[in-house]
Amino acid sequence: MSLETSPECAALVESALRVVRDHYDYPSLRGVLASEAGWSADRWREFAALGWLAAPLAEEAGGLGLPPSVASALMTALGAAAMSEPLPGQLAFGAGLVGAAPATPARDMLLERWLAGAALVALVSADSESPIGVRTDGPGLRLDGHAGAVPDGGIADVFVVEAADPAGDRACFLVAADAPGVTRHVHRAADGRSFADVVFDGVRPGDDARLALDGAAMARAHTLHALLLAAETLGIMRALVGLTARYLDQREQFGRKLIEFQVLQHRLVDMQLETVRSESMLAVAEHACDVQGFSAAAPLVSAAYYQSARSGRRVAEEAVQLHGAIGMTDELVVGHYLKRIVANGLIAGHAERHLAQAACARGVVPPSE
Amino acid sequence: MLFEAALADTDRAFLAEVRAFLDAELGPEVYQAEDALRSQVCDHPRQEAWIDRLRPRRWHVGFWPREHGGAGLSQVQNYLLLYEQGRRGAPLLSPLSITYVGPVVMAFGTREQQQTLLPAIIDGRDHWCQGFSEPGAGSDLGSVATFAERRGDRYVVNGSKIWTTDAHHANKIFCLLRTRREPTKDALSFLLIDMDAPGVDVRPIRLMSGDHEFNQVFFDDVEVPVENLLGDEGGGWAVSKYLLEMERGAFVFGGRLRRRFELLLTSARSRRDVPRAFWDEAARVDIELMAYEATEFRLGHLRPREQQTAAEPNVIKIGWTETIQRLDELALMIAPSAWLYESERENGASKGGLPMASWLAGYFNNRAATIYGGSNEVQRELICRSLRRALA
Repeated sequence: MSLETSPECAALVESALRVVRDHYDYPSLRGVLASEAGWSADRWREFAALGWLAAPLAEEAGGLGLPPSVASALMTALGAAAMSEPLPGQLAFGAGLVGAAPATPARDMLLERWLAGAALVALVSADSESPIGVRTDGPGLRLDGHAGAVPDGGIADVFVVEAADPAGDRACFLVAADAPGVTRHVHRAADGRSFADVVFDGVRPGDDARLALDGAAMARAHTLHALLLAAETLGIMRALVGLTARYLDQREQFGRKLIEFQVLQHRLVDMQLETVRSESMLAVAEHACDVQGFSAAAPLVSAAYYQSARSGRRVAEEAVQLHGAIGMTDELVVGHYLKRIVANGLIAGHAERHLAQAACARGVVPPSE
Repeated sequence: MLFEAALADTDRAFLAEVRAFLDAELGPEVYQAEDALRSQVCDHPRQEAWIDRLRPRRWHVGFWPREHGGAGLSQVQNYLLLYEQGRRGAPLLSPLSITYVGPVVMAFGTREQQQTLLPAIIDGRDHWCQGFSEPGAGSDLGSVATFAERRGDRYVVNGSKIWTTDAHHANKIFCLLRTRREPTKDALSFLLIDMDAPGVDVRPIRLMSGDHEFNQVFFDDVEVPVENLLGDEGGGWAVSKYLLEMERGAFVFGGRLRRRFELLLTSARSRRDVPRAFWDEAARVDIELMAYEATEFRLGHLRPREQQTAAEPNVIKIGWTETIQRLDELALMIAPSAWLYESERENGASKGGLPMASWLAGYFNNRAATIYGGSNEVQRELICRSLRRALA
């Protein structure tokens, strides 16, 4: 059965676990988070060399063309790191979006740099209240507008701008982050990831900057993004159950180990049950992506995204509670995990919105509701 | 099922065979009656009628090995057979004889016991009930006190068993009881007793829904031949533990729960007074149910039992019992006060979906799900043990 792990997948997961073990103990991660860049470009090139960026990229685009479940398994294995290096966004919008666009010289050049770990992309989506506008101006086109909270926006070298023309039709353009007319205000999110508010003021995209991507291609990339965020959350949940179990087994109060208290045993088990629930829902979504493709699998990915956000928060909140005051400190990874889990439930759209989409697409809620 | 595309060709062919069989054999008169059922326990005549249709293929004992008269299905095929039956509304078969007694007789019985007891289950001559719980020993099964005193070639049994599902239909009972006075587990034995033996008395216990499933069974100087011991004298705890593992791992509830959920949605859609909160909750239950279906398959049936290391059966038991209660609670969100007094006949299944009043009886009866088979608190304790073992 295809539910078994392929050798390629096992090798990638193994490399991920090794990287987490060797480089992502929490003191090291805190060091990176406290640095000016907030992430490690060296580490990123190492990820590229390990084949992590190539894994989900189509073979005709120079990648390995491995199924979505492999990228998902990779993210789950990396969960315990809760790193600031931007894998979910890069795999979704680098491999999943730029990599899925028909070849052009500009796109091929970007992909080559991206695949080597030398360039990052960020999607400026038109699904915002005021999408970036594109119109004809003299001999060429110009882009104008303001995009808020662009994931990976502060560290991207190239923006993929989904712009709307006056008629409302959408088109995609590659715009260098340092192109004339682009200014960005960089933010570090609560979980350490980079965001930016980006202003486009009379930006003139190059002649071959246009990518032939339609709404369906865009939706597929968003689905992959949601899948990968859910996968990372699952990895964090597993780490939290292990951390909490070890803490309860070691901490003594009232003359005995905390794990001897039955009420705490049951709460620990409930954390495990939530983790199993997310794991199962994610397995359904991964399988659907592999065999049916992202479009047909989108409602199941939404379901998995919702479930991981909901279960993930419960697990992380319980982990803080069961650790007691130490769980509130910046010194312990538990708080960082909680922040990452909350972030993962917002970045690809609010989990509650995904719930509503899944319910509608699956016919649970009647159309009139 | 959720992972259909991942099935091996032989399993997919088997699934097609199951579906063709159900198309031919499972008519509306069967599934409508099953849908209206008020509890997880099937009523007997309909169950027997359904077994008669399964028997030619040995699908009522699908997972039993061929050498013992079963169909010898693989774990995945057995899952498909049970999932598909539940999804289509086939009667749920009582596990007492098929899932509990059969496997322990295969594992612990003498050759002679196997040759007499197993065919009697396959042919439908024997119907078993379970003598585990006692008034003073519920979750703490190891403290049972019913005593079997050895006198020559027989035991003389005195005491009482309680919460005995289907004792009023069964002709045999398997009992965990004490053969020595010490309070230790190695003083426990597993004894098979005829219900028509002199001194056995069955008294009904009504459930809060008014239904009769439970009984108390009294033993007053009941004489049982020593050959009716299953396993060694003093070896009853091992037999019972094996049986409880079967009890927790052998069900497939995913298809049945999914069907129940869809029937509830059908009922809700036909009504005008459904609050928005119902649909919001239904959306969440849909996903939890899907996660449960996947858990049941992945943890319970994908890997061979020997390779299951953690507390898979306990996770699954908590999963289906808490999910069915979630479904019942969802149904209560649209309960009109008339459910309190209407009979199922009066409000019928005319609009499709489930007769509404049966949801209320189901809600009451299914409160038992998190108690029986080892209460969910005991299950959590067992899961915690496996988490602690993983730390070491």
